[in-house]
Amino acid sequence: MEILNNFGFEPILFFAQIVNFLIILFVLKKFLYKPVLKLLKERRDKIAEGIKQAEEAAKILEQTLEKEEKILKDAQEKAKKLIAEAKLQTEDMLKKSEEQTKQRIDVMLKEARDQISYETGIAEKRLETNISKLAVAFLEKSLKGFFGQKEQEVLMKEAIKKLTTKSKN
Amino acid sequence: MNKKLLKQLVLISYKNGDLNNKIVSKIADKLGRNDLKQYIKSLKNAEKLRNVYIESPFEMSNNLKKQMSDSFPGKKIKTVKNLSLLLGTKVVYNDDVFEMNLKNSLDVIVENIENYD
Repeated sequence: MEILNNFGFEPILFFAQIVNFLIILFVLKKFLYKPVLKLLKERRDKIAEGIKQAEEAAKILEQTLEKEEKILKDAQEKAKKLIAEAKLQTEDMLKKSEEQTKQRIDVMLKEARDQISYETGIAEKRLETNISKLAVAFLEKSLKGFFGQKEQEVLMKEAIKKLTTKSKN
Repeated sequence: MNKKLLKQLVLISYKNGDLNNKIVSKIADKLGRNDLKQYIKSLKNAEKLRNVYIESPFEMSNNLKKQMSDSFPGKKIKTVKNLSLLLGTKVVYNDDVFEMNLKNSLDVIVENIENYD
């Protein structure tokens, strides 16, 4: 007690201060702490919700990215397959087209050869005929005056013989 | 004009085995267009049947002519000089043609060459 008195402690003042303190504490608690704490709580909830939403969004984003990657991968694979198929088809078409062209060319060549052969045949035939005609014409000219009355009589007698045989038959 | 009358007209057109121009002219004057056509046709046929045409590149001797005449008894032999025959003869009687000459032989050779494949 002496020590307390040495420090200037007065029980009444101390009690009054306690009462004051309790009043202030009550007032503060009533009008300041509660709304502030409420506000803080709301704020904390909001932030927590925001974080949660952000985490979800990140998760969704991650999933979306994975999906996107997968889709892209699939698309790339499909594209590769399509390109490969297209390449094969193109090669096949080219091969077929080449074969058809070759066949057509062969047919055309055969037709051309046949035509040439046919026309050559005709030309040869004409040439043969013309040569034989020329030969005969040449013979006719050469033989004029070659035969005489004697040969003529021999031939005439032969002709008469044949005619007589013919008329008898 | 019937066939019988036409035949008679053709018969009387001949005198001594030869076609008489005067008789033919007289008959022709009296015939109409169609009858005249038939008459000329009949005369041509009669001439074909009466005559034998012998073509030859040389003059025929009397001996040959006689032999030819013997081959066609009752027909009149008419000789025609045809140098293009070269050698031999061509005998035409009615629609028959008998060829035995060099020209024909050569023509046959050319024809065979043309038809040869």
